[in-house]
Amino acid sequence: MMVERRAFTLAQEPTGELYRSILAKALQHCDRFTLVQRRECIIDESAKKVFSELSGHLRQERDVSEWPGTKLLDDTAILREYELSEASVAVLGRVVEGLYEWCQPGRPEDPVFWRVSGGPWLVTIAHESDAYFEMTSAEHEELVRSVPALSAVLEAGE
Amino acid sequence: MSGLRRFVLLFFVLAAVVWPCLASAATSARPETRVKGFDLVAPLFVGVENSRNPENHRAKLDANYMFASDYLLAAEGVIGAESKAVGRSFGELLADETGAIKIPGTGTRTFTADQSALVDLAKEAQRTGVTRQEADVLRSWANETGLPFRGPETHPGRPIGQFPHMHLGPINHIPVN
Repeated sequence: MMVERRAFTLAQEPTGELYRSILAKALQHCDRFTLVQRRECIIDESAKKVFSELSGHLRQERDVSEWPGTKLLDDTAILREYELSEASVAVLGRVVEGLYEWCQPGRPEDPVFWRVSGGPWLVTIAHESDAYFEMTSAEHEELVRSVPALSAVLEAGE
Repeated sequence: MSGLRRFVLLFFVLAAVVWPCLASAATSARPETRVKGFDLVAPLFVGVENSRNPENHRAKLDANYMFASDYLLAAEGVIGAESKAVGRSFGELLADETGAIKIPGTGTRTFTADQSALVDLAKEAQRTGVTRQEADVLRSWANETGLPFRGPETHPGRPIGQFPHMHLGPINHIPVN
């Protein structure tokens, strides 16, 4: 029987230790993550430096008009897919202190962590200060048990 | 008759004494925070409350307007009054703002005259909405003047930004028709 996943919204930005705990949990569930570079929005040298630091983990790069959480009406963006590993997580944990700092011009945008089995695990819409997990209830229980600080900030969607 | 006169006199005396006290009490009941330039004023909690309660969406928009989304608005003044979203309203801050913004990691800057004019247009566009063609024009002007621009875009299924919108500088969720 297929157990349905639903959105569990982060009601506040995970920062510091909580942010890094989520990255650590992502390593257990996911094998890749994506970052977006919007064409209509400038990027500065510090964002380019992040791309450079992650370049060794790059799997593929393609043009997209939508990614989880966001759909562009006219334009396309560059979506880069990276291998999720201890090394790439170390970069993600070092270059920002919170999930919503993933925003141009200073950083690439909207990290999405992808399950080994396919489908997003964590979706970010950083410029809207919005993020959510796509999980089953059982996964939610397990996540909150292992990262108790999440229990105060996770809200079940419809 | 003289009783009535005494009553009227007493009424005015009481009004003169009591009214300023009531007004003062009403004012002091509104929590106020005096901020200096570039103080960060809890944008995090705006998002928190907004996602919990969609009816606070307007408060988020107001706050975004103040905080320029991810940017920190320069402010000298008083943040006062109550709001469900953040426990504070930013109306007074808006009136006092200097027009300068600070973008994390890029230091402090103020709007140029061109940027300021474009922000004024964006404020009007937020009220009226724009066509796709107008959005294109605003985007090219944003690029020319160096103001951040995002969109047009939607966030399907999310509490914020399901409708087609764009972001220009500090002005968020400008409807695109």
